[in-house]
Amino acid sequence: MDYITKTKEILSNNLNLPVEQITDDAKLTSLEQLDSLTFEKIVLSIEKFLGHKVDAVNLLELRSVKDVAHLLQKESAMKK
Amino acid sequence: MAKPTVPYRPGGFTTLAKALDYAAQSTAKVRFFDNTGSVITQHSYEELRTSTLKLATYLHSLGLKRGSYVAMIAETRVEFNILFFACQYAGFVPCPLPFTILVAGREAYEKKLMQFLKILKPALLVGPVSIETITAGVGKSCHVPTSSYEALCKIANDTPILRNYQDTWLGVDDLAYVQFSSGSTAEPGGLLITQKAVMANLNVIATDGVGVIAEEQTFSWLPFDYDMGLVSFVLSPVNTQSNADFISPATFMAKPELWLELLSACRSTLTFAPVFAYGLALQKRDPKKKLDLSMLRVAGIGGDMVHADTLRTFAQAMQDTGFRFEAFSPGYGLAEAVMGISLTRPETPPFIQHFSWAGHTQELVSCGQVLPGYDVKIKHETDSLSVAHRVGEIWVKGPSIVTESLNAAEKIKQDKNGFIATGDLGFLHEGHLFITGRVKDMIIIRGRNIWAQDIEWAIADCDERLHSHSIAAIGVTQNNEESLVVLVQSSDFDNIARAELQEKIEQTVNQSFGVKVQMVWTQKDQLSTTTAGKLARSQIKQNYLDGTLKILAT
Repeated sequence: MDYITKTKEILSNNLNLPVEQITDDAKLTSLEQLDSLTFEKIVLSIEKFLGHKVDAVNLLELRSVKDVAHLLQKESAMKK
Repeated sequence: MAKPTVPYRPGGFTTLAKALDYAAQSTAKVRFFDNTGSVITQHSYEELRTSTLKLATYLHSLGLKRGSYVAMIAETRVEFNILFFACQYAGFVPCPLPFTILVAGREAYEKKLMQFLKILKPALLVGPVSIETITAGVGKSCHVPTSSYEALCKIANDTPILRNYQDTWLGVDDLAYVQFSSGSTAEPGGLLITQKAVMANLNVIATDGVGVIAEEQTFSWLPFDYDMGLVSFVLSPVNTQSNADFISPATFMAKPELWLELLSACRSTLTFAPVFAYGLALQKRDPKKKLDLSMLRVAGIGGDMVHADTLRTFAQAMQDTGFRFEAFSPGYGLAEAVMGISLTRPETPPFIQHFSWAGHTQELVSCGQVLPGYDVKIKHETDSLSVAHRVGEIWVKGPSIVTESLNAAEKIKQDKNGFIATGDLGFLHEGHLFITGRVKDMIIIRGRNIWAQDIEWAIADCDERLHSHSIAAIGVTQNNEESLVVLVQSSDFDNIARAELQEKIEQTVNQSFGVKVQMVWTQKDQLSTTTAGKLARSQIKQNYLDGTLKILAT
């Protein structure tokens, strides 16, 4: 699975931002509209996709689009 | 199974442990829901007390000195309630600390926790397993032993209950807990809340404030380290044998509509929230879902100025659910008074009045009548003629006023008659308290209190070219909602440097506070200072709003 694309889809849906405007290298904090409220929505979407909760410590480490993709990949592997 | 019950008693206890002793004989229960609206855990107060007394035995075996502080990360989970009350029985003082999960926020959170631990010097730090690497690391560098809720409760499960707890429990003359939500995080205050203070406030809220009824069904998503969340929903239900339902703040943020759906499903009678929450939940409500809010008798609202339009819009849109306008209960309180000072009484519609001053008319919502036993005084600045008629700083006095803080530098201002300054502006009219603004440099964004100084210091910390005396954080209200504006004065930066610094500042503010910032770059000497050389933020804000600042870029 292409986790970068999945990540962008999640971010795009929660931030009402076109996918094209989210680059692979983008930092999460530099994305328009991202604040504590939208971050919780993103977390919810991530957990919904994974089907399980993500440890808070891993959420605190998320800095970039790539970090989210990496988390999705790592946690998906854990599920199996 | 038949269960021993006792007559309903709306408070009147002298300590928190005695209140739980009584509640344990009632049929009331505590439930926690997940983000799908399903129950995760459910405990009767009897079960909760048993777990509490088992954990109390274990805490004793650790050999901690009586009165030691136990720092606890305030995640919304039943183990928080268990540990909080285990401390009450075992004779330790619980100190809830924030559970803040922000994007890229690990470093900022670790730094914040370390500041708390340095002030508190606790004997133990407890947090969830999900952030154990953080709590263990922070604990190690501050020489504080750590554990997790999961580990503690697992061990306690196989431990006998504490029998002679009357020998150790926190008594009438002891502390009850330490409240950290007041004060800036740069210099956390750590208010020492006594049993007398908390019970006085809980009891008056129960009888005269919300007028608690038998079989009250409370619902909250407020953080447990926040005075409104802890006092009104963790402690008050115990004091009044009420059923208490919870979702986490994170669940509310992700799905605000779930709050309304669960209020309906649980047939909740009492909830409280900051102003923004009502608008947000309404916006996200799924119109296809049929809701019944006819049971809701108290919809508490506070934490900031309340606008009449917010109340009307919500009540109008929720008419089909049976929600009644008079359920709205605007109130006012502060951590320095434990929690509540004034509240609009149940079954009384919010008191809304029009006031004219300085050539314009303003509609204001009263924060209710001052609770019995409390006294409010409005102090005017004698040398200021610009202060509108009757408006002044609110000073309060009463049986729950907190006068001691862990941080000696942050002394609570008390006058010779025992009144303390609130830092809020307002006036009294027909026995009602109206809030009009703040003198303290606090910015309230979506119910979260953020001190201007904390933001300025965090920014100054992010790059050596920035200095805290050239940065001013102010809250600007647009469309009834406050947002953060940061002004930086300097003529030293070119466009490239500014762009680079701006990105750094935006990231820092987001990681540390989880809010968006609007940046304004000004020329030199634009940020007014007081005669003592401190930033005069209210003057700066006025200049910014008047458009008299020399701005380089936004």
